[in-house]
Amino acid sequence: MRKYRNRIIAVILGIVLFLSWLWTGKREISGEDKEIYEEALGLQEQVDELGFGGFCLADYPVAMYDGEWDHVFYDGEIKRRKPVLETFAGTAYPVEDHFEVIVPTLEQFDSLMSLAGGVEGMVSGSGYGAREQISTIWHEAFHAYQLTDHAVLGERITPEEMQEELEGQEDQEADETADMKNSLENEMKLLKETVDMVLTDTGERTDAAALAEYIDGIKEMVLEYRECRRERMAKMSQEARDAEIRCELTEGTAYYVEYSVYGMTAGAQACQERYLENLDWYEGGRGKYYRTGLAKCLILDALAPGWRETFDFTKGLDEVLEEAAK
Amino acid sequence: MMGIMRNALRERIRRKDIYVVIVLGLLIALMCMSGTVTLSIDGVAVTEVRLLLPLVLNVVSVVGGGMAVALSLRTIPNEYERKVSHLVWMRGISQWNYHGQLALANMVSSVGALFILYAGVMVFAAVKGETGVLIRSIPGFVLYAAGTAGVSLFTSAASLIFPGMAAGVLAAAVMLAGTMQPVLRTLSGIASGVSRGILRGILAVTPDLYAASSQAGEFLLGKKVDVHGVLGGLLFLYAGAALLYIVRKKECA
Repeated sequence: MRKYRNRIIAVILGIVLFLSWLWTGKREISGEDKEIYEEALGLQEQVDELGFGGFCLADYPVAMYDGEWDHVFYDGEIKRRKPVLETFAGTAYPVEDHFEVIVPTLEQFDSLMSLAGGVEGMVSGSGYGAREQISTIWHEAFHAYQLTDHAVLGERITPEEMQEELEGQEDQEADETADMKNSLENEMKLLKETVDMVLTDTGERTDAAALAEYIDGIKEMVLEYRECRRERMAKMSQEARDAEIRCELTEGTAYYVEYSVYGMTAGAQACQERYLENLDWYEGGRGKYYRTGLAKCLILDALAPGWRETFDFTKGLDEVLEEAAK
Repeated sequence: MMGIMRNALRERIRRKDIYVVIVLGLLIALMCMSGTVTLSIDGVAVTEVRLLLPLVLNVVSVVGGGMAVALSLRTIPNEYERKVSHLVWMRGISQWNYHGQLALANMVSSVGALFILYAGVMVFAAVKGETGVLIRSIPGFVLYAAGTAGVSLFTSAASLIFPGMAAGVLAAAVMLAGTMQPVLRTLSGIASGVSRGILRGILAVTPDLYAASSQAGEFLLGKKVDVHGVLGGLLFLYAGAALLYIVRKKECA
């Protein structure tokens, strides 16, 4: 026995070390991610003021994916489960009979940024930190709201149908010829000019005539934009037109909510720099429709204050904008 | 009792390879500090010691791991190639004791080299007036060095099992995978199919050396230390020692 004493001590030491390592292993989501969720929830009252009826973050489970597990925040609890989507994405995703918000944890986003050329541990410096994560959560929650409470363009999709659609999805990018690209760039410029006009307005007018003149100015720009868009859309297939209208409606309004939430946490200046300075930037893919949609929501704020209270996603943003500009 | 280790260390100093490695390492550390290599985030230069320290420690940790592999790879095989091992057996010294002392010499020289680099970082902190960092520097080094010591022991053990080149490649791969664990974890979250399986496998069998060394940075800055990361470093150290104990050279068994 004496002969083996040292070996036994060494083995026990190893077992204790191993068990301690297992015991202290990451079983919970980080405090930072918990704070982010709590802070996001705490903005509900301010988001209510936007006026989208029945839109409540707490209604939707929010799953944060840490690369191994989903940590699902819902109903005051955090539950760990095997990931629904084994990839890093910000999305509203069908889970069983409901939609959930899925985002990567901030730590994973940090690591993703370092892979993309940023520096590990410096997420805030890379332009994505807690505030951006909070805005993303609200953005995706708005998609969950669109899909749960509304028939987008008259079409209500159940989580099961959405799941099937996602599984069989193929990339259906509309043809973007140089001509179409130029037209779209021109439209984006017009929208940005209109938004600049709306947002730089001080609202200090002494009479109704001045206000009418200001509103007429916006309407004129909207009508000019409308003509350009009609010309471009006439050259597109029905399928591509529908896809653009749907994307702009769902993403544009969600981006508008994201923009508003970011303004609540980061302030107007930071919000302007992040969302408005690039409002007329053209890019391939869907990103441009986020921006054209946001621009239209901001113009609607000036032309039809309170438009959000009655907004039910049955019409495209252009249609709503045209009605407001009549 | 530790004569074999002392001799191995003396030989290491005589061979001067340690100086070459240290000069190379110091050069990299100095570049990080002097502004020859500048870091900027969103166009703003990062010079703040509290931001730079974790980054520099990560760089030094990778350099230290590389040095540990270089310094530990040939010690035991060289002893066998010189056919002096039988002199050791004649004195009744066990194979484990012999290997253990040689590995200890490797570990001491690796950790010593790491300390020189670490001291450079501490000089940088002192210049910047970070007294809190300096006060915590010695216990901080103990946390910091666990991973490098583990790499050294693992390399010593690998050199007993595999031929030189294979042992070096394996030890370097384990060291790099260990220091790049966050990146591999993220990649495994993006990848799918076989690639995901391979990445998950690598993550499962390699130690999280990044967590181990980054906890030293947290400690130095007075932040909360994640015990799991520290235990991971110690567990790797233990595994290296256990491997050394288990592996025996056939010719002498």
